[in-house]
Amino acid sequence: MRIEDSPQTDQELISAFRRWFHDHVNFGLTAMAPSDVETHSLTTWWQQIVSLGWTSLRLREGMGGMQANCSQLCSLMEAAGEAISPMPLLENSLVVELLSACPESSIRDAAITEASLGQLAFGVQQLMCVKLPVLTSKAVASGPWTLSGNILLDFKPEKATSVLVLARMEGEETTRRETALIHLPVDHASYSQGYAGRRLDGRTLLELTFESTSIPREALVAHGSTGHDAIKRALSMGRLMLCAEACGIARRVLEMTIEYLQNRLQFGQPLGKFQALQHRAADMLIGTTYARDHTWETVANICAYEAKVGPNTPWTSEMHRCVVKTKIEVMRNVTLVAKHAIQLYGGMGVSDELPISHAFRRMVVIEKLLGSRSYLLSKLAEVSNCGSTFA
Amino acid sequence: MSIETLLTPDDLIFQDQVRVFCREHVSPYTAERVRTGQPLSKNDYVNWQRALATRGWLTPRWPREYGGTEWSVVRHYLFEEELARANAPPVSLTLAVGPRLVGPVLCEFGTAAQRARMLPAIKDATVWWCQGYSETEAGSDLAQLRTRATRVQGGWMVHGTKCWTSYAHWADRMACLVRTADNAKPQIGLSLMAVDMQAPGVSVRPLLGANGRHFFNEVRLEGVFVAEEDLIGPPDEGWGLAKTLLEHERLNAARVAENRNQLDRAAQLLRDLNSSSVPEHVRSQLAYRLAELDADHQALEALVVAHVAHAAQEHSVGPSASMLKLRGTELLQSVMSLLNDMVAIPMRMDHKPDAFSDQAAYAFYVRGFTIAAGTSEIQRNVLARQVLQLR
Repeated sequence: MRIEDSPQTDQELISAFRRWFHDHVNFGLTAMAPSDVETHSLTTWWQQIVSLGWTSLRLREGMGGMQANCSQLCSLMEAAGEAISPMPLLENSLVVELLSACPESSIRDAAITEASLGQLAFGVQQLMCVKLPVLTSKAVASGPWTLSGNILLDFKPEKATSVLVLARMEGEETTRRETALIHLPVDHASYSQGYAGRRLDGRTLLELTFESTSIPREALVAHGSTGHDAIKRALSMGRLMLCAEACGIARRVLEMTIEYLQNRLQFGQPLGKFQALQHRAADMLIGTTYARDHTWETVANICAYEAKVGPNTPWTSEMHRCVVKTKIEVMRNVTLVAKHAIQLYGGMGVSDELPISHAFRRMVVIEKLLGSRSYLLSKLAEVSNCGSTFA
Repeated sequence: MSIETLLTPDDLIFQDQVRVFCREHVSPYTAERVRTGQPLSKNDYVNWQRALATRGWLTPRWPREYGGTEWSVVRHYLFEEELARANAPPVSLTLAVGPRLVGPVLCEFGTAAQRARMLPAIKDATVWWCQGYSETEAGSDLAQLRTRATRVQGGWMVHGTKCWTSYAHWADRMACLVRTADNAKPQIGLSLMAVDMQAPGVSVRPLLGANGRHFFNEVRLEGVFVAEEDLIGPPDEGWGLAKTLLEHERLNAARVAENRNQLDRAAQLLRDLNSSSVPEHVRSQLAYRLAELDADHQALEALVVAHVAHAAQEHSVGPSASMLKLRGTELLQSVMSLLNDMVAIPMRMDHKPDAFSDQAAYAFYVRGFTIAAGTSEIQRNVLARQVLQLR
């Protein structure tokens, strides 16, 4: 099912998303120096997005959300992709997704409120549960726990009040089975924070280091298998959102490239008259169409499942595997679109002057986030070989 | 078949001499920066070129009477590959415009006075030249350039804008292709001029590369006076000046040594992964891809050696050399994609994220290799029209 075939109410929402990005973002901002983006306009835009309620789309209405389904959330991501927007929508949405799947508690509700206000710092790659910091305790019922290790944050809003940390619980052999979700105040003296570089898409990265940091019991939002299920769901949701964003970028890139081929004259005629370039453009169309159809088909299946069993029911192993395959193939197709676009733009494509290179950079990062194509392929192959479930 | 099969005993001695020279003059710090695509300073390039000049190796393609070496085709190829193998600072057309372009053109077409005035400073690398050819409307179709020089007393007045001018911000002089006469055939009526970059009316604006690096520039020429003695070669005949002189350089366009270096880098990264906690299925997949590219490289080297042998025999390179740039640059882009995956692998949380951004920036730079100096599309056109006679 294509996004254009979704229900009328969804179409209105999609139009609203696109209109906002077109009016407020539309690349003009990403042409600014990253520091300008992050300290000035990004904050302003982020506050607008918060006030529109787009940071809490998936929450149920009783918690201040719009109870949006997967399709509506992915529509937002596709619109952001079309605008080549630097907005941390993925990070914030995944925080909400993660918290929504956790057992109800005062700490969880407080964290959700912060997330709705766009004030909860996070690092999405934590969801891969690799080299997580270790949370140790002598007994489950008593505290305090101690936390050692480090995490990488790629989302720290200017008005952040707290940070969400994933940790592996001590003594467990596997990296994922027993995980904890910890809610900590931001910029706290109990841990250190350092600049960890600037990512290819312009995002500033921060490293938090915990050295036997004391963690009060009440800071645990979830742990054990509950934490594991919440993470799995957020990971798959994140991969699907990245696919949607990538589709938006691919659409925009295709549009810009066709316009360029129609207007740019060389050898006395528009570039689009040359057959070799037409073939590349045709491949871009195929890649974009494949990616979008695949993404929205998977989204439709998930929406149907959630409509049937309720939004809080864990997804099946097969659904998680379906999302993995979607990311694998969507990334193959959109990467091709981006590479062809750079080639067709010639010298301007490798400069910083035009949106096309910014789109390419974001595409490279998307491909790597939450499992690169290479990693997911090899994981899928292993799962197929072993016959085990995808976890 | 490797290049060794074409080497005479004297060539083997020469190969050793070049290797010793590189060990003595390329520091491990510089070599590592070149190997990983990190930027070098102007001093790094100038010092290296001066070292080559001291040895008589900066201007090997010049006629012997002006300081050339009169090497065979094989030895020229060998020399370039050994420098690339040692990860020496590139002495490519964009980074050594004086020795590679202006010098040979002056030797062939310049006046005695021009040679006496300009060659010494090129030979000892005291003057940095840039190449002012491309314009916004004249990329692949260079003959459409619009920068115009009109006759005034004592010389010419130049107006126009050049773009993608590599390292113009470091340059003392620019080899500038300008229109001096109109003709039905746009290739006729172009002249090559030596522009003083400090002359009134010259302004340089950085054009940031999409990888965040500064090497491209826009150069504005607003009423710039160029003296008569700075016109290089006959007026209106600048188009063909440099073309045939660059023919033999096409043998190195496959970047055999550069590809080998990056494949070796990938192999080292794979070995590092083997001793880490990265799952076997991930390593297997990467190893498979590396094996495939390694085999591709062997085929590329065979192709190049066959072309070198042919050029040595026939004293001309021929249009089929277009496949060398085509295949070599596309292989390098594939190797870069593999390196991206290896560096970005989620398990490598001990790597600073900068490592990924640096590698991705390098990979992005390499995307320009299928665009600059004749796009892959142009190379295919050459093969189709001039080799296959399809017109």
